[in-house]
Amino acid sequence: MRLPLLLRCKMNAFKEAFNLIVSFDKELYGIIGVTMRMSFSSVLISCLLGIPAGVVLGSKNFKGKSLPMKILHTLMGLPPVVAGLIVFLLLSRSGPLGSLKLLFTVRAMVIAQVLLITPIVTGLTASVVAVKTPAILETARGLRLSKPTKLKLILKENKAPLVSVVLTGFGRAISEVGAISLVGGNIQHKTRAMTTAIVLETGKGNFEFAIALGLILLIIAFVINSIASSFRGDGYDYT
Amino acid sequence: MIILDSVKKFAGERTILDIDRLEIEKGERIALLGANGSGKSTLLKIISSVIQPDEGYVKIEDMEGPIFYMPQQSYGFSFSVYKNILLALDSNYKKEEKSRLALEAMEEFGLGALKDKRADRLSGGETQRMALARLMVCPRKVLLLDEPTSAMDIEGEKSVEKIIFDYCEKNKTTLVMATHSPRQALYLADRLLLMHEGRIVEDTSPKELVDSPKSHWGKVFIEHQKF
Repeated sequence: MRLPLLLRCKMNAFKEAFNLIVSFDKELYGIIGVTMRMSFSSVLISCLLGIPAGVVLGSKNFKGKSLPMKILHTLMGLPPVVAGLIVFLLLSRSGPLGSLKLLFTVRAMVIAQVLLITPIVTGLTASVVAVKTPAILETARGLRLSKPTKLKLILKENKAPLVSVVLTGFGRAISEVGAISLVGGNIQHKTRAMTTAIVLETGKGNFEFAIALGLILLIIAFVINSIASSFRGDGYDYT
Repeated sequence: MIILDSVKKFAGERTILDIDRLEIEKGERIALLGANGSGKSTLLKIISSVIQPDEGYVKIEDMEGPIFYMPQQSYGFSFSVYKNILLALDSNYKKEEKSRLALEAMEEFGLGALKDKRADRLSGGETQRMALARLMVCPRKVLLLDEPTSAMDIEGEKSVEKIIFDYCEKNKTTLVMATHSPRQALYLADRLLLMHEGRIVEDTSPKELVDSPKSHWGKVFIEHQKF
């Protein structure tokens, strides 16, 4: 039986994609490098900012807490192009940070992603921490434990959900298109990331390259999830 | 001495604790009795400074060492029972001493077989025994216990009561304990505080209460005890 033309094209594209991966195509691996650098940096910075803020918001009750929570929940849904636009305006030559000459660099892409991901990490951490922390703190205060020990216990007892928070942030970073194409410019060999390259190559009809990138994105996501699962502990034991 | 003066705590419009004055002498063993929502737990949390009063103050005078508190829902941290108990020993103890004290406490509270079991996977009664062992692993001068045996069977409850009694006698520990068990209160305490709607309605000794209860709640308590 003859396969329809479009399906045959797609099958060839998969074959080509596989060849690109195993032949260590320079452009392909350059794009992967930019993506990894950008995603890991932005997730790391977002977690360093967002997890402590989330722990404070989730574990402490203070007057007027509902206002920062409302703002945070709004920012969690910030459209990527809006984040990209804000960073673009800040970093453009006539903008307040124009002198730093960061526009159309990987650093600009990281800044845009940090703006997007930090509220997500903060908000999710606050929700996660709020579940167990009152009981943890009550017990820890009763035992007169030190502040660093209390913090260590909060993080340890919430380890599994916090790993999920980090993974959610990473998922957002690696799959993002709108903000990074605005501030990165999708410049070949410089700021072209996997998602922006997929959009470009699909538009050009270069399906092999686009599919290769798509496959690698899935493989990376799988590998990172597998590594993260080992940190989660028994709460997420699927074996 | 622990002094509470004009202490009030509110939950929205409702007053959940209203104490004119309460003085707790060094070495006293006090049982707080009262129905659910009578303010026992709130009083313990305020004395232990887990929460702050909305009005009034708590003054601690001439007490050796800090106040230790076991909440009603004790938390078993997600590591072994042994490590949970070690957690309560500060850096003043050497490693070998910590280990010895933890093992002794586990043995005393019947937790020897559960040494390596994760504390977040214990039953309710086991969690309470672990929490008591953790709190009483070394001498403490003030202990506040919030229904420490509520999830235990009667045999476990009686053996733990004896451990608490002996511990307080040996260490001259001041004990304030919330309980629903009149039997436990009469066994452990030398002073009873009956609470109702956030107030202390009777402050008496076990003997006085049994012989001549003054308040309605005192009479209810005695009836319950006879039953």
